[in-house]
Amino acid sequence: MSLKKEFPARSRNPFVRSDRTVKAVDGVSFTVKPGEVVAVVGESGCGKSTLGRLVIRLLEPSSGAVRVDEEDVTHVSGGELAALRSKAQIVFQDPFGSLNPRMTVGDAIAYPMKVNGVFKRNEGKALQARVIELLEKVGLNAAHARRLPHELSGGQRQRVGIARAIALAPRLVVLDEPVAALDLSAQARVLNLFKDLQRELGMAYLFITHDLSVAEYMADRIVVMYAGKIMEIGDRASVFGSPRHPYTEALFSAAVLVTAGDREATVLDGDPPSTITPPSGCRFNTRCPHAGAPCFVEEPGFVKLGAKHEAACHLLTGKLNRRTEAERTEAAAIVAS
Amino acid sequence: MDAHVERKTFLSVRGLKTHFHTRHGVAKSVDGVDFHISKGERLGLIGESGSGKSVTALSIMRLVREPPGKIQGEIEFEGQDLVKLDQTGMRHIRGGRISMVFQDPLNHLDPVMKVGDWIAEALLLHRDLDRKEALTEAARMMKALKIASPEDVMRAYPFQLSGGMCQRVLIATAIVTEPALIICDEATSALDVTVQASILRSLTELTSLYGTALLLTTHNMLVVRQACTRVMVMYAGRMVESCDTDALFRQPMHPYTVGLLNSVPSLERVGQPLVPMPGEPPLPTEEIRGCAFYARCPIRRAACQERRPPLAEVAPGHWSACLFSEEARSKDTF
Repeated sequence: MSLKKEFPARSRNPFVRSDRTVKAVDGVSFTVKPGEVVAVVGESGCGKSTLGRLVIRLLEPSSGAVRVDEEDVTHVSGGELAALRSKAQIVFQDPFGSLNPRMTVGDAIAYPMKVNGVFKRNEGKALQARVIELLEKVGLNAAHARRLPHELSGGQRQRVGIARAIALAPRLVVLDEPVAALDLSAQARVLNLFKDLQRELGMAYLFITHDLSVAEYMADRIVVMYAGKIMEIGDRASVFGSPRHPYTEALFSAAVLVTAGDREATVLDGDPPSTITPPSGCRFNTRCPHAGAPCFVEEPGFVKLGAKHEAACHLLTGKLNRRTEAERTEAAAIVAS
Repeated sequence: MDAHVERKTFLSVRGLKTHFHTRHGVAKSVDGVDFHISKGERLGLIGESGSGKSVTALSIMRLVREPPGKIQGEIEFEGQDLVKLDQTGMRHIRGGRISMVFQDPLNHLDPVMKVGDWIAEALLLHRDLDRKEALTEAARMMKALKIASPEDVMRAYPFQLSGGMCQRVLIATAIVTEPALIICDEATSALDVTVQASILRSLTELTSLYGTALLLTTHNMLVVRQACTRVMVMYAGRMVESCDTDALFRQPMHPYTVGLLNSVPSLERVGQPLVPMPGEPPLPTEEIRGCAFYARCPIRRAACQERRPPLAEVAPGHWSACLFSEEARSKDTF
């Protein structure tokens, strides 16, 4: 519910604590149903990874609440937090940094089960059997259990991370850019593995990615984030079929086909705004091709566009009109001079 | 190839081999590559990591450390063979006639130099300008690259700028000396899609304005699609397919290209399953007899193991290194 996370910004003077904050996630609300795949898309720095970490409580929110299975887990600690870990897990982007280089693959996968006391002390054999079962589930085999991470390729390492995340049969797995670091042919195999596992085990995924085509391939629902806020949220078919927020449109233009002569394409120039001092009004007003007076004053609220599709833009609140291509060129010329 | 194209060709690479002598044997990163680039052409070089695309790019610039590396073959550029050229000669080529943009902009800018001076330095080395003129020229180029306030950016140090901005600075540096060719080695791979789209658009606009040719290495199909007119696919150190960009996406001829296209999620093939290729590419130190793609190929035959199939023209302007290209084409997925 209106989740927020602020980090202290680095101060100019290293001996003085800064009172400025980075508003990485700034009022985000959404739900994930059991067994659903929700993709969070956005550019780097939009707060999507922070969001993933807040959801499974690797970070504690500054305000707002996180509920898992009706239970408020926003500020749990100790035993309750450990209980949450068996319900919600994460697979990280970097398959090199997320495995302990001195732990064998088998030990890494067994670790969450040991910590959570899934097997008793005298059940070492059962634990080993479970590790091998998990390895096989992710397309590796028993021989891999004795290997060390450096002996494996990136794709294989990512599979180990996945086996470790599903070891406790979680209800929700946060996938934080899980294929971004992999080679092309490994990417397809890992994406298909995610699909198969989800079908088999019925987990929900929060799939964080910057790649729209990956989101399209994986998700039931799409959340588009920009500078710490949700711009558009809705069913995959609805968002991909008719994106309504100019930022989503721009993301699509960038992901499909832009040629120099393509007039229809919305190509954004410049960078996303600072989340230390976000622009007033709509966050997207610094790069939006349609931005007008209301966008700089008032932050647009969500407008319902269908049963399961919402977007936050003044084009939809009726306070702003779409610009034609000619008007956009003209406006750009004024800004340039 | 017709005479018209031949005349405008200014870079032709013939029989390029770049081998590295390592502890594990000879790594044949580039193992017999032929291609040419014409004036103003935008050529994409696509392949997985380890396919040899970056080493090809580095070999043209002679940025391969020798030894352990060894470049053989011919790289004919504007009447000179770059493989035989001495270091003094190469210094005039690098940054002057051929510029290069790398993947990681922060590591290729001088951290203690203001970026304005950095761009101007290229001009001071390669063009007969004084510092003031060079700075004016740098500012003009940054404006052309749609950098919002060039004066402010020129006074900044690289750490104060975003990754996208640093990459624009490197592109400005590359293009400001008006070279004949710009080589971009995975230049947009570390950037966001929106920034990537904006940079690719600027690059295509500026290169067509100046008639500069572009050689873009990437593992991203989208980049090729957005920026290149012609594309070459590399696998295990050799070209496996070469054709117009449209033809590649409409009608790939080599089974590796077909496999590659089927294993990348695309917004233009919504609803189609991803079909990953089995296995891994061969190691560069492996001895390859026959076709390098043999072990992973769905249409392999005994004949494929006899010798490495050469590039053959299978349709006008469309080259494929497969004995059974026709069959690969008829298979949409495997």
